[in-house]
Amino acid sequence: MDTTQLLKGVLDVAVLAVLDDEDGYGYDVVRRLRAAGLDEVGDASVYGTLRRLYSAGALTSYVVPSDEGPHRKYYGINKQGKATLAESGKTWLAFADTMGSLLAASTGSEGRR
Amino acid sequence: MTTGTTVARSQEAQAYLDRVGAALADLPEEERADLLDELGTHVDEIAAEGTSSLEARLGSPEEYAAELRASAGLPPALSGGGPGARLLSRLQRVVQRRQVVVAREFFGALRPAWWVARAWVVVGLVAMFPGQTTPTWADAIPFVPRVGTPLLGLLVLFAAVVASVQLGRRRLSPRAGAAVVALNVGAALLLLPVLVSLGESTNARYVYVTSGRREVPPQEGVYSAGRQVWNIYAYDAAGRMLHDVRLYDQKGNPLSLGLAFDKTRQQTLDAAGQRVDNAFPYRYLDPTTGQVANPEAAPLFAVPPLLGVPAASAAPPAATPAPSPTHAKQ
Repeated sequence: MDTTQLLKGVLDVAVLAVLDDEDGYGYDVVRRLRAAGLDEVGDASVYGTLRRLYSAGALTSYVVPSDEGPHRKYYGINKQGKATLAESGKTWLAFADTMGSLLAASTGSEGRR
Repeated sequence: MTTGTTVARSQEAQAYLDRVGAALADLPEEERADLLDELGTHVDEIAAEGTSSLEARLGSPEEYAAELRASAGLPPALSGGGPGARLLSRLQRVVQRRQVVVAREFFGALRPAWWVARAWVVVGLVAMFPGQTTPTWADAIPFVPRVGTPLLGLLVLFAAVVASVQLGRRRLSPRAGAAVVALNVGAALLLLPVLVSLGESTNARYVYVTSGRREVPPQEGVYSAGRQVWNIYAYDAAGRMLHDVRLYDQKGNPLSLGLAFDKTRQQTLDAAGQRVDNAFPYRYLDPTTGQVANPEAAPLFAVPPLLGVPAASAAPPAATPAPSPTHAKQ
């Protein structure tokens, strides 16, 4: 199955989780998502997601001047973002759990039971 | 601003950004600039890594823009993306603005009124046909055009309203819809002429009567019972006609009959040699002799003497208080 389809549903949670660790600017978030294993995440998708989450009030934003390069727009998670992350995280974990047991029952019956 | 000031942007990055910008052209300018600003930083950074071309790394600018829209929850661009489509998309956004939506709802609520109005216009056209000799609007029933008879006009109007409302309530095929739009435009254009026609026929059949006092502009001359006075004859208490009686109004101004200067009238001069126009009666000169033919000429009537006044011609004026001119109002 194409991972990009799966990513669409969970990119919000993934971005929030990354920012929950530490504030970051767009490309930084992209790199950290990829480093975490989400290789197929698209740059534009991450930028768009950041923008949408910010518009929805889940993120704060501030500009950090830099000496060697252009100023960067950093995003940070706020209280509402944390609440969303907790909620969505729970939903995701429950979902993943369900999927896990569903798949284990059909494909790995001989392996586990 | 925040980009391109410290690091010179590569041509490739600029071209890429321009194409993304073009694909986002339908967005509000502020939002578009904001997106491009952030994207500029991003593209600069990737270009600086220099591992592969931007397109290989990020996909085509159009794909990038589409992905950005989708993930940011922005409306997708209309297919095509040419200037026409961009204009259409912008127009669509204007139409979706709140005030515009409110206005559309307001006028939407007025649609039934328009259905009635357009039916009236169509029937009212009958009243505008040239060469009509009889009145074309019914007198007894206002706003109803006469179609043969006023009653028939009313029935036709009623039928037209029903048809128009039914037409308005129906969902129509695109072709029929276009025909109805044409009908609407035509009716809207003809609304004014029909109203004018109604107004004109109404004016022709009713006469406005105004009552009450009418201001009459001041006029020259002296009037008696609504007729201009041309000459004045004065009689004393004994009933004898007086000559060269000088008359003044309540303010001491010489009484003026307002007549134009007349050469055939005998001119009267005062002691200072000034012409006197308030000495009555006026006398007219005989054109052949240049003289007053009959100084005693007067209207044909006899003035009876006043009571208590001696009929004798020798009566001293001082003994008769009543007719004395000094008793007259100033």
